[in-house]
Amino acid sequence: MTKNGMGASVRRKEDYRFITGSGQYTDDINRPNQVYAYIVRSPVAHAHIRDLDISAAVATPGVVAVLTGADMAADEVGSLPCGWGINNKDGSPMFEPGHPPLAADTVHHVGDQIAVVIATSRAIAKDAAELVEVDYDELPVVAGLEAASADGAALVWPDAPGNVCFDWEIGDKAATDAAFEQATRVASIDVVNNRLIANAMEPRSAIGEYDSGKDEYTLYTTSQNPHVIRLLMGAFVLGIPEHKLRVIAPDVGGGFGSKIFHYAEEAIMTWASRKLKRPVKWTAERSESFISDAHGRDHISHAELAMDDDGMFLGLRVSTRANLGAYLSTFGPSVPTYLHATLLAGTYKTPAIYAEVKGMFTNTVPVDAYRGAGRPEASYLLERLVDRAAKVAGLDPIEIRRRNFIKPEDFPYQTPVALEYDTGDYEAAVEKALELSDYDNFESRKNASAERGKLRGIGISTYIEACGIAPSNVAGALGARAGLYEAGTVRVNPTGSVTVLTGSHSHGQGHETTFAQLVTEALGVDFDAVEIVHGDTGKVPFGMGTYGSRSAAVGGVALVNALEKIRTKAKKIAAHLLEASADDVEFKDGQLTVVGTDRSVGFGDVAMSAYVPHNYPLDELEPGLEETAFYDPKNFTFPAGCHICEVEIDPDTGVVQVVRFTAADDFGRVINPMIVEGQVHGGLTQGIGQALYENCVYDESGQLLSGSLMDYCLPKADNVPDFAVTTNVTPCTHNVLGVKGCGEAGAIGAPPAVINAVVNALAEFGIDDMPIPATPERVWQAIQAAK
Amino acid sequence: MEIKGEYQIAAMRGVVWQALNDPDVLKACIPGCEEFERAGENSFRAKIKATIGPVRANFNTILSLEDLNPPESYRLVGESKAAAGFGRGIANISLVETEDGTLLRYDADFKVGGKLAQVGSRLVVGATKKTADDFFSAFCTSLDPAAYRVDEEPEAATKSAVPKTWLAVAAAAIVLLIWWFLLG
Repeated sequence: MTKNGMGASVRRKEDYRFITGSGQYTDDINRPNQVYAYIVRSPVAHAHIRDLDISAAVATPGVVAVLTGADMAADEVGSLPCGWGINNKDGSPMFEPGHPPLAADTVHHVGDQIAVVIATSRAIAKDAAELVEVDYDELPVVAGLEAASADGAALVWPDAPGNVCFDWEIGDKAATDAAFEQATRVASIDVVNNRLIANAMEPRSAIGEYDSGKDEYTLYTTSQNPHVIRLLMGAFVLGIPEHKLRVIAPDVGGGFGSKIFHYAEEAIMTWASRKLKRPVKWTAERSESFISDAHGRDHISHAELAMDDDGMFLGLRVSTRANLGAYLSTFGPSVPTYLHATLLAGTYKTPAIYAEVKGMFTNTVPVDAYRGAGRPEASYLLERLVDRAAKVAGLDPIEIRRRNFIKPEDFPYQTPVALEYDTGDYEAAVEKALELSDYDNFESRKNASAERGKLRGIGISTYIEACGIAPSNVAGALGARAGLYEAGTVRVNPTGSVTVLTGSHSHGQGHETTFAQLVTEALGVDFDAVEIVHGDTGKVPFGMGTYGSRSAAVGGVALVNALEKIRTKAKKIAAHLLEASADDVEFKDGQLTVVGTDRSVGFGDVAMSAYVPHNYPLDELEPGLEETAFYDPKNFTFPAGCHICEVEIDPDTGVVQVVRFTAADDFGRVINPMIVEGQVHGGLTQGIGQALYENCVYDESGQLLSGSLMDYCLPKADNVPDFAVTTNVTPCTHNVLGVKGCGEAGAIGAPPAVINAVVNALAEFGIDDMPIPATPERVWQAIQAAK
Repeated sequence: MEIKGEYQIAAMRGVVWQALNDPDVLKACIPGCEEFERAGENSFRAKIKATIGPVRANFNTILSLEDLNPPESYRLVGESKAAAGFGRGIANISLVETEDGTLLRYDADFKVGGKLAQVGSRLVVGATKKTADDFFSAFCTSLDPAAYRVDEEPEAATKSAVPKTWLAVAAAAIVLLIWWFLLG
């Protein structure tokens, strides 16, 4: 292993600036002559705007402009686009409502943008915004899935009957029905997957800047994928060609999916900066984030699992309703469909699966990807159902999983729901997790808890996920309206240092470290001589950004492919310098050597020769040493693993404490074990948050009741145990790095493990169901009801 | 959310009724009321500066009196709007003649929206209840300095056995938390 190369737990380069407060986030950036925007948002969930009076706000000293939907319409600003189209069962396309960045005449959720007040200070803009008078003609509200699907429910969109955006299906219905006819045992479950709000540490922010001399725009924004924003906003909303629009996403303080999407504020700031010929800055307040960042999850599902006498799975039937919110967010429709139902095979060899998903509109904030995006919903449903199936079949939860696992010899394995898993070893992960969790001695720990008056439970989940959506042509056939490749450029500078331009974007993942490790590994250059540049469309040729655990598996491989091109060219240059054939040159640890000789040249000398080509094969090779690769994967990657959770419940208060948590994950080969472990810790904490604490609640009139950190309960450090984390490696078979992705696994595997543990702890009361999140009140009520 | 209360006032029912329809009396009794004027025969327009938990705002309020049955009862329908959100309520007010004067009863149902709902509707219940109690208490004592509340605090009596001191401590802690949260 090269020092600081592949597999080394190198400390994160970027942390110095983060922990010393010298990171540069969007809100840290101030442009000359900048003005400040405050967005007027709807306090009601559904209404026609009868009248909008901005006169008092405009007259406020310090106010530069107050702009409304009418101004946008006059400038022919387009609708915020949806990046994934879903077809109904009958093949017709889903219903796509318009989504103007500033509402034209109707608001559809609390928080919907109505006007923007722009002033010389943030305080003036905010004060003046209070003077904007809006007269609402209120309309009936549907604030959740049950209300939206009730008979005679009010409509969010008059042209979407029943509030249905799409009614979609996957799998073989006839084969699945036949499996149920054969079945001797059937387990079923109804689950709600709770609605979540990402709450990244850094709220969203955007600065639009227009250069009238060059007719060019720059947008600074808190985005996970600046090139995607450039494409969506430039081409669909504001009609700005790519060469006139630069999007910069500098340091970004967490995204968890919520910063993938193209948001109205980005378009509003960019548009306003041209109207005013001044940079316009907006930064969300925390309470604004709650009603304007896309939310996550929010499914109601019914599922049935058909088995034979031995507990072997014969068929799975799933019916899901998914809340999409009032408008379609950028990737909203893909999450409950192709990122959810395609994962319902899990790690099991269920021969027949049929799933139908109704995407529904409600008068709530749009719902889109949140850490795991569709896969946590699938994993939660399936792993809860399998635990229930174990009871029905009279088997141990681990035994029923073992019987039904896809075995190592079955790969590649084609599931009944479109995916082809390339590799995995689920049994091995279970073995590792059982050992690490000291599973065999659970009973003695349970007894010890009982002596202290506590109920102890243990739960398992054997999840799978699909990362790095690919290939582009298949995703396109499934409705994706973007490519899903990644680009990377390696620029070797004349003195041998290396600048990498990557289309991936780091907002906490540590790319500046892991990608530098890949460069060190390939070229042997010093770790500190590598700079990773990301998040700027003016510097990076192209990119699709970071989401779906794709950075290493797609962006990392693009980088490795570019590095391979550098290695090939370096060998040719070295061959010239050493008067040998390129085939005979070996490139190792930064030295290029003619095999079997002591003739050798350092990589730095090769770089210098490429830029000062005095002794250089100019007839055969161009000067310079810079290469770009675009990589479009052949398939998804399929991380999987086994999570085991132990909880202690206080029966008097219903408080659940996670006391032990073990994760044995297969992420393929690992670039930096320390960073991977950190990603797992974060994912597990968010998964435990979903299982026990976090819940987004609207009242029936569409008011967000969990609209602050007082009422929306994020997990804190003392809510999680010291995690026991290990990996079980089966390298991905279709990328050169063998990596699979690790960013979301914790949030996918943890919720079912936690709830299975809670249900296990409460088994003595005959309780076999528990809504998520398992709050103290719910647990206490369940215990009281069972008594 | 519902609020109710009963006050015993040593004044004739007719006098109480008059006062309930007198903008000057009402203005003096509404906490934070800066303007109060008659907008129509049975409606009033008010500007109220209010602080509810972390939200400080100027509420433009329209009050209208419905189902007038002088001097016994009426329904008060109100809507307050501010940038921080809105509140809407209906209060049924009745006056019953008693030996000692008049028994004023009110029960109100109201809802809030926008930031008011978002930053903790649980907090708003307490704040609004206090505002309503302050109003009726001020109103009653303006007519009779010795007026007193006759019903028990419904929450304390029926719903919760938590000691009041504890509730006060919890409320103070929550308010501090909100301040910390908003300023931080």
